[in-house]
Amino acid sequence: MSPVTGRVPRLQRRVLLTMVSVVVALFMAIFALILWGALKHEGELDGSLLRSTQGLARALDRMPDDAGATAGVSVFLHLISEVAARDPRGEPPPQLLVARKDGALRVPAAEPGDADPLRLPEGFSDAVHRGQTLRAYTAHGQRWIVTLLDDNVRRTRWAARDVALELLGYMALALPVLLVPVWLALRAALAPLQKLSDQVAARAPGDMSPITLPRGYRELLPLQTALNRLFERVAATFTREKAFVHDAAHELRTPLAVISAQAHVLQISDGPARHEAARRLQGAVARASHLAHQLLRLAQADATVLAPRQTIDVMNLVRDTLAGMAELAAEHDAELSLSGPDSAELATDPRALRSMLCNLVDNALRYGGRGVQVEVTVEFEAAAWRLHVDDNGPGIAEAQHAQAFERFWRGKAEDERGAGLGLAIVREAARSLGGDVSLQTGPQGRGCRFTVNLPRR
Amino acid sequence: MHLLLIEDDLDLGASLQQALRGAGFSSEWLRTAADARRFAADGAHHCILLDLGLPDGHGLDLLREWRRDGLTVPLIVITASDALDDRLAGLDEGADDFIVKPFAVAELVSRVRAVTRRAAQQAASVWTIGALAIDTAQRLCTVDGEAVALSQREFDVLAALARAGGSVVPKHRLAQALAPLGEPLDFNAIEVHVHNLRRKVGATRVKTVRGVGYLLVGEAA
Repeated sequence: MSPVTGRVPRLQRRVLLTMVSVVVALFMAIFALILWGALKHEGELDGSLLRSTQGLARALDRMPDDAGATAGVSVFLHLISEVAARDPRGEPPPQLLVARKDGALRVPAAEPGDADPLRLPEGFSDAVHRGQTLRAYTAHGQRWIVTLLDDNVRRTRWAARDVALELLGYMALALPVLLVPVWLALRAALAPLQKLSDQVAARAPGDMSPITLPRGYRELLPLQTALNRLFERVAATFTREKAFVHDAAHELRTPLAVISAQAHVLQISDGPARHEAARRLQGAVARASHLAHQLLRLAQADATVLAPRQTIDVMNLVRDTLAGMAELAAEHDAELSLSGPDSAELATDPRALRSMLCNLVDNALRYGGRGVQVEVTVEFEAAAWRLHVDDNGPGIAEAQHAQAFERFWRGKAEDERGAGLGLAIVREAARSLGGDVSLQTGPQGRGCRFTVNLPRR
Repeated sequence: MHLLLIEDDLDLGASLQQALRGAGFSSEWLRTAADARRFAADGAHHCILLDLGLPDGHGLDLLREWRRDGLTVPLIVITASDALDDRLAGLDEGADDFIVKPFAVAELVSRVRAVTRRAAQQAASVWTIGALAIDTAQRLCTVDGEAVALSQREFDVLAALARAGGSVVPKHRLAQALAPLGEPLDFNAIEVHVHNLRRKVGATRVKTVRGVGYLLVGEAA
């Protein structure tokens, strides 16, 4: 595997982490819910504590004397401390303070810092008892005042801790139970993906056959199809490039042979023969140069790559290109003309456009014969636009219209410099713009009409 | 004529120098951008031939520096790439012409002659094209020595066509040249000006390439 693997996050880990955080969040929600429920009961507890103090106050009122009352309170205190002793958490017990209304008798005996029941209002209140703020539940009897002091903050805290501890236990139990199946399911689900990548990795470099999985899965099909399409395209490009290099090398042989032969003649001869050899040598070099030039153009006008778009005034580009070819036209005594709107902006690839126009006009001038009329027409419609290049030269036989766009097709032209690539370049360029090129007989039944159809996007 | 050839390839440099000598041009041959920087500014050359791919820098950078420093000597860029973008970049940076490898020496020679002739013509304030003389400083025009009264626009059209040195000037470029700062002139107005110009300097001196543009020809045919 590649060294990057270590740093690349794993899909499995991602899923597991998501799972863990979802579970933790869920437990926290449950915790909050339970705690909220527990705190809601607090009010009920408050009420029952207050009722207890009221009950005690009534009971004390019924006691015949103080001794009886004191004994009764002592029993209560004893009960409280007994309950407190059995509390596993060692929580300090609620404090019971009883005072006779005249303040002369307190059970238990008052110590400094103690809250004074006489000063507490009846019902619920907060009282400071030995430096601690506690919840006070006070009941006034006819002779007695009974106050129960309880640390309700601590009680709440304990309740929260109880719930949390319990839930943590459940969570510790639940997490592995939840995660192990998820992990197993993930492994099972990712196995076909692993198989697919193994298959791709194990391929020979030249193997472009489609990938087949023993059992296809719907989720993997898009990837599998995309890969197979890519293989197809690469294979097609591969074949095309191979044919191209083969053809190119073959085509270069002829001028190279001429060069070699004429160089030899140049070496051994003199006089007019030498002059003639030099002329032929230059001709062969020019032909090879032109071929190299056109091969490069063809490679650039690769229809398999969609051309980059640029918004330009197409008519300006056409005029610039034709102006550049006017000199060549004059050399052939040809008449070059353009018709179309003054201006038309659209998104296209200027290079492809220029290349098409150059090659079509160059062809018309080159093979149209002296004095040929070459008319370029540009037409625009809502969704498409067209480029016509018409000439009134000898034309191309209808039977050959289809093959004229093949690479290295030269027709019956005797022109040595033609590489037979011009029309192939035009077709590639047109396709790279999402269009195509076709050939008909010229408008007046003679010559050629090349039409480039392009979408106007 | 003395040329400065900047080309790093040994074979091509040597054979170009030899071929140029055959065509009657003496030349100095440099192979690096550093040398080129040192020798180009001495003003001893009538034309520079600049290869874009140099071992120690890009030719376009050199070109940009020279044009920024006010070096106006005609310059032809030589390149192996005929990519349009490169070509346009070269012309934008101030190259006078462009030639793509492989090329015939005869073509290079004719281009050297063309750019040096054009440069000499433009350096002078009076340009002559056949019987036509255009004084760009005084904004005067004569045919066979006789003054021709041209309107402002007509003179601008004539000067723009003369500047192109015999090649076709597309209509939209003419429109831009006539209104360098504002909205380009519309083509109908251009046609009217060209029509009037023809009437005054001789119809055959301004040729039309239908739909494309106009060119100025030396001899009235």
